[in-house]
Amino acid sequence: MKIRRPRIVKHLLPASKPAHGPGETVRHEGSYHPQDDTLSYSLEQNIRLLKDLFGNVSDLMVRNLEITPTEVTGAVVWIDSLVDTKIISDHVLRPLISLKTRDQVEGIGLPTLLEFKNSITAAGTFESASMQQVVAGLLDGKAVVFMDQSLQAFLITAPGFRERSVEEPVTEVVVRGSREGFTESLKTNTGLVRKRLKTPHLRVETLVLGRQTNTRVNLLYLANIANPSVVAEARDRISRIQVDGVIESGYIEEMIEDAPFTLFPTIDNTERPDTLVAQLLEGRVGIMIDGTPFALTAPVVFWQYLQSSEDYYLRYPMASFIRILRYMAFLASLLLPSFYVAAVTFHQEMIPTPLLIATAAAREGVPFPPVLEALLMELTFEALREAGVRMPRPIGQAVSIVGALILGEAAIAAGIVSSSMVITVAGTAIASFVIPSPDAAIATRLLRFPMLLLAGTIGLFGILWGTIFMHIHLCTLRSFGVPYLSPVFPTNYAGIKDIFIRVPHWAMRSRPESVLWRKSRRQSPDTGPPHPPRNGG
Amino acid sequence: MMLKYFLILAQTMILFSIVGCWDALDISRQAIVSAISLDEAEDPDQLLVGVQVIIPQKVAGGLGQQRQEGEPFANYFAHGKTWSEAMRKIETQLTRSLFLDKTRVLIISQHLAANGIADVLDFLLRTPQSRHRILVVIAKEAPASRFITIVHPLEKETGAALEFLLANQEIHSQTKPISLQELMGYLSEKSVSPVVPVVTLTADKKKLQAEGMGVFRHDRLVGWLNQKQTQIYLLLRNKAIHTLLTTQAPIGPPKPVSFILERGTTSYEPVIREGRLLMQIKIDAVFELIEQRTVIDLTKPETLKTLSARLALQIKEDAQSLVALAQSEYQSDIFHFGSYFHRKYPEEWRQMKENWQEEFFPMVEVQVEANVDIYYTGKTNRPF
Repeated sequence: MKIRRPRIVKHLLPASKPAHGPGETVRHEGSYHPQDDTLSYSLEQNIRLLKDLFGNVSDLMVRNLEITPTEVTGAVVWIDSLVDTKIISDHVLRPLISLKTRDQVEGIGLPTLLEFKNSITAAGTFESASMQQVVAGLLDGKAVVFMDQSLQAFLITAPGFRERSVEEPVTEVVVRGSREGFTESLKTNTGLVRKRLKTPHLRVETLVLGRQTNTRVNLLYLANIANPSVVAEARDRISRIQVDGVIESGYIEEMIEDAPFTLFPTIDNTERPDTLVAQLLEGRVGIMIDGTPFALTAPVVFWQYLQSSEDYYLRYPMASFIRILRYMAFLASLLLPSFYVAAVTFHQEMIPTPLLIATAAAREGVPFPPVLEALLMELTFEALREAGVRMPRPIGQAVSIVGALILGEAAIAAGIVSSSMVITVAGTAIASFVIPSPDAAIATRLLRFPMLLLAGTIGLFGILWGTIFMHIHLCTLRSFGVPYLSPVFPTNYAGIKDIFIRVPHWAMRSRPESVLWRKSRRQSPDTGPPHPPRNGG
Repeated sequence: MMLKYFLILAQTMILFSIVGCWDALDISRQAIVSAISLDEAEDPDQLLVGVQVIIPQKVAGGLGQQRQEGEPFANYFAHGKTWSEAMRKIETQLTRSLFLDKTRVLIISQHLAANGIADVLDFLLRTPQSRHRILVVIAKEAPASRFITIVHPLEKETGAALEFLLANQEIHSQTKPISLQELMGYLSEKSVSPVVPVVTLTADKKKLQAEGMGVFRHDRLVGWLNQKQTQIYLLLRNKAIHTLLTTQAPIGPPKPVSFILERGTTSYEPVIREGRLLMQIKIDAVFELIEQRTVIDLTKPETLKTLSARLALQIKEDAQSLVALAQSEYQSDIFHFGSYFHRKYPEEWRQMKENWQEEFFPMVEVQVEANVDIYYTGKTNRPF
């Protein structure tokens, strides 16, 4: 039977056909493709099969259990690097060995399967008759107990690899709000979400992706809120992925996104469980990947990239103010250098006179035309930024000092760049740091350069041109069927409450219609502004 | 497919390089003009045009940038049959192209203005480079070119200096700046005449100062309003802000008392009766007493009443004489009487409007009524 991957582990594979003989079932290449999945009655054969399959690696441990003095009647197999040996020795080996002793004392004979099973005291223990499951279990940090003359093996969960503990997320920092961030462990991450969403409607579907990595991927959604067709679409798209490895969420993102050739992201990612929960509550699906703290969410709209989870924790006037600030920062990050270049090259009359004189004085003797100057400065800034990110921390500081000194001081003093250009580039940089999502910042960082070229060649007309084309492009984008600019275009007034400003929580009565494709309430109909009783009650 | 996209991209890029840059001019290649002077030349067919060009390095410069010494501007002059011809001649002396968009002030000499300004303004109205908010001023008793050479200790360029000077005077109702746009409005109408701010040199010929306003008839300068007349004129035009008036104390020794206008409205009631034109002007003003050089006891209501009656009388007399001056000597409807008649008597106006200023305006009988209240007397009541 050819196994189609990825498959959904939740639905366990049914017991397959009788054995042909275990030795023939294994092809020693790449990955495990058994012709026949069942275990052999012979303990010796099962062990040999495993050892052949793993190629006699040093960390595949086999501990034989001798229940009678002459016969080997059982074996415990585990991969040493993945398993906590304390659990194995305390909860598997010790009871099994004592079982043997009791049998010998009482002289009853070999223990029954039930006795055998009951003597294993580890929590996560289940039976399997499938060789494939045994192999997958071993690779997943389980210990396997084989018994002679039995078609069943016991898989004992005893993961022993070190995990990073739950720490504050690095990429999405908030002042007020949860300090928990996802880790590299899928189990921990699922738990962090479950902990916040105590409802049986939370569905967690596990898929295994990657022909070599066999990475677990969890698809999360709220069955009573999410749009079933979006969920089905997400499941379908993920199932279609057939690659050797899925190492980070980026692998999946690029394989399932709607518009692979756009600069704008159509799938969001988050490192924060509270953000993921909020997204699930709005009817989105979450995709969590084992081995990365970043979970994907879809469908997304453009505006989401200019929102932060803290918008919902701060009081609404401040949150609204910050949102407006972010929109301005987004525009500045995209267009500020272009506006500067267009103004000094073509539209000097637009600049107020004192500023014009100051700019003219600053530009006096600068050897490059403004557009070239801007391109040089922006490229230098991007280089500095990349150097600062990638360098080890002590060297990174040196990079920033060199950058600040060379650009801020020496270049202006030498008259190579104008001080007004440095101010513009610095303002652009600050604006781009205001954008909370690095993915959306990437779009502005990259689009800045074509905009600069347009501004430098045909001035404001070019900026207008570029902006119009960008808008047309944005209007064509969709994320899992949801128009990218919704709920603004197409307009849904209830949805706009949470776009440019954030209205108070008690006024956000409906769930986002653009994501769910239906009207639904997230609050009871009579929710309104709080009315404290007068006269102290 | 990729080739197609590449070709589209390549064509777009070529398009940019063909179309673009036709008026791209870096600001460091432009000479920013701050002020323009217009004089009549010795040859009556010629104009003397002067421009003041800002030298940015000498104007701007923050920390770390050494500001260069010397005058922050340079002046260039040239003769020409037309303004544009003169501008071309100026450009022969310049390494950069003239940038007129930021011009703040146009100074016209009094003799040129007396011969009419409509024809010389044509260039400025026609060129797309100029802005119609350029302020127009008249140079009195000195050639206009002299004014753009004066260095101002507080401001860097003459354009800014004159603009701020006029704005500062406007607050005190000693002048009323007029932009090219507004001047165009006046010139396009036959029944009303502009009043343009006047600048002149101080006695030592080293500084310039605002001095009242110049009265036009159509586009010709016909006379002057001194500072006091300007104040009354602005009060009559409802443009007065902080007018300072000084009058003689009516009680005790004849010593001066000064008032500042708090608020004032002037209303006009035109009447045509038996073919005679009558204009009833009513001035309602509230003043604050700001200084007295007498020893009047201001705590008594009767004193204030006497004072306000004295002030009202003075305003009334000044207004009457100003209107008479405009009617008889200048024949220039600077008060917009015509528009009031136009509104109330549209039929009659149709017959009058062609020759309004020459024929009808001087014949208008004027009745002035002034009501003055003194509401405030400052922080102290009793004199020492």
